[in-house]
Amino acid sequence: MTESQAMIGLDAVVKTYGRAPRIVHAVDGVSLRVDLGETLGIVGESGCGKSTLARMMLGLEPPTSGVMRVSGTDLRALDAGQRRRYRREVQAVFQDPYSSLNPRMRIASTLTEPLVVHRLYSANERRDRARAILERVGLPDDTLSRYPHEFSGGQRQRIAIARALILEPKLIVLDEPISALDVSIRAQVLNILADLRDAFGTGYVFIAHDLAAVATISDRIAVMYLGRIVEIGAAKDVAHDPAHPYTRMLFAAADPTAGTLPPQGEPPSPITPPAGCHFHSRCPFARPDCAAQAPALREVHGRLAACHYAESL
Amino acid sequence: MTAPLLEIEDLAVDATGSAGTVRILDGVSIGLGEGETLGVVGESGSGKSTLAAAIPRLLGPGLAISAGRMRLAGEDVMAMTPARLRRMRGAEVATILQDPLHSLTPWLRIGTQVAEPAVVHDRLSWKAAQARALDLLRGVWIPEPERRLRSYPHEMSGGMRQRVAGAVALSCAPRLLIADEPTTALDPTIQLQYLDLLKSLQREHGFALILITHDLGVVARTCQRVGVMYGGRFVETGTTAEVMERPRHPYTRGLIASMPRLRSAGSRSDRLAIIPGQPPVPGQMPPGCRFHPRCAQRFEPCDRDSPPAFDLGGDRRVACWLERESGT
Repeated sequence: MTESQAMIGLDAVVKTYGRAPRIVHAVDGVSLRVDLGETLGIVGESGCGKSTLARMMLGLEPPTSGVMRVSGTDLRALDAGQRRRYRREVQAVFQDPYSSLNPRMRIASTLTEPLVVHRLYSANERRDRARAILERVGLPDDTLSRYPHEFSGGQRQRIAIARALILEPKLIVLDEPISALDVSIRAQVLNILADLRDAFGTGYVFIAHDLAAVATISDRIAVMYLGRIVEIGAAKDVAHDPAHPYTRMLFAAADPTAGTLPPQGEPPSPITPPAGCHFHSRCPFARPDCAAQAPALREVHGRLAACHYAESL
Repeated sequence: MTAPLLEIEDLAVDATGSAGTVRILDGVSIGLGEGETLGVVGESGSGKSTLAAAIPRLLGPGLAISAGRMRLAGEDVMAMTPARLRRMRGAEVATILQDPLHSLTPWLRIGTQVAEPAVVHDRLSWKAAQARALDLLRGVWIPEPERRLRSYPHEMSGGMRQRVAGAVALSCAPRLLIADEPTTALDPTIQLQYLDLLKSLQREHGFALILITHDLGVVARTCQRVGVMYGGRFVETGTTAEVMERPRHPYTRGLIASMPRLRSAGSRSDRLAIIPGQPPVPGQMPPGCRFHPRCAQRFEPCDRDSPPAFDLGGDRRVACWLERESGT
């Protein structure tokens, strides 16, 4: 695919918090692209930087360094009109459907507000669109006149998805959209997301710690560890035949039937990450030079992996 | 089954509030042998955490056991005096909760908290108890245990704190450990380590374990037996291998079928099997079988009569009218 089709492109993006000597490299030189209509899953343990990455894609945090492009244009160079369009084209769904909906607004207002903000359609058309989008996420008409507290967690998350969809965005960034939901409700929401993607061609960035859910919905998966991408490639390749030792450890932990690579140690502090390959302190295959030199992302068996010895493991 | 350590029969728990009385647990029966591991699976509102709190009779305000029998090693738990209950809770039945930040005291050093049960229950001196605490921390795989005795909970990671909670629970060699969602707040690789730790501790100390979780994967890894709860009742119990491979209750079947699987990676057109609707809320339980509004196989008796647990032999019990012919 050509560069023009990338909805979002990140080039050596860094995000740091705090000041010396306690600087956290939340995102430490990430380059990736999200193509139009594709679903990119991002996985990793807490503190790996996946939510910071999501916030940058949503324009909620500027990168400390590096370049983020939206439809090919540097985010910093967008004029007011382009910026408004970007805010319309990239929408968000967050983890907690209890805090992401305004408790004092009826669902009708919650759903139509984005249209009002972007000055789209007449009041009647806005209401029709709200009704139509609710039907898409499997909620009845009378939802419009109700308040968030009248709904269960799963229903609220459907409302949050409807709200993100009503602007017909090109990309929805979903940060842990199912982890607060009951097990029997998770499958419902995953199916709705898959149906909506088929109907509207919407792309997703899907962040979750439920690896099986990410593998099910994603076209590609990026695995992050302490601010860096350690592996990125087609969901099948990454989930079935992981190349990076960390990916192996992560996926073995998710699947009781998978060949196990028993996890060792805990993720180190992102303030003082290990030198060289960040993962070497927990890696059962680490050799002396892993502590000396950080491996670059390079092609290994049809995907990119950042490990000096990916081929020989 | 080995000698029964815990026998629960027809247990009911009621919640009383301004809106009246609501039954949270209803007709719960389960047994557990010495050294056995039982997984209790359920969604929110299924009553699994209420069951965890009811066994050591630690129900919160407004909750009370309203019917049923509970025996711990043959002794009637309902008839225990307050002094007997205190001894039972610390020394015989220990509990680990989801968030160790809530079960550990923030302003006490780890050493004090791990040593305290031995001082209270086993009448050890603080000095002897500290020595035992050091062993316990070593036993739950805490690196540099000598240094950690002097740490405070906030200085440790979530996984480390949960191991400390494990050390506190094990300090008086309980016969039964109840762990309520012990790994839910932990990262996947740390979850796996913790489950391995629990299993290895169990091999070493021989306690029976009740593991409460919403995650069937956790049960599959850890438990010999499983009980599936729905709407305040057990709908299916049996050995984990049997229940996971040949689930019989429509709810269990639906739950297992709806789990995303790694092997379905990257197939855009696939959809997960789903259970329609949502779990019932205590106080608004449907009549008859509580699962019937979501059940594709419901028939004439389901919305009227609550099915008893049919005994299918081989430790399998299923509360579903479909089993009326096959069970007893």
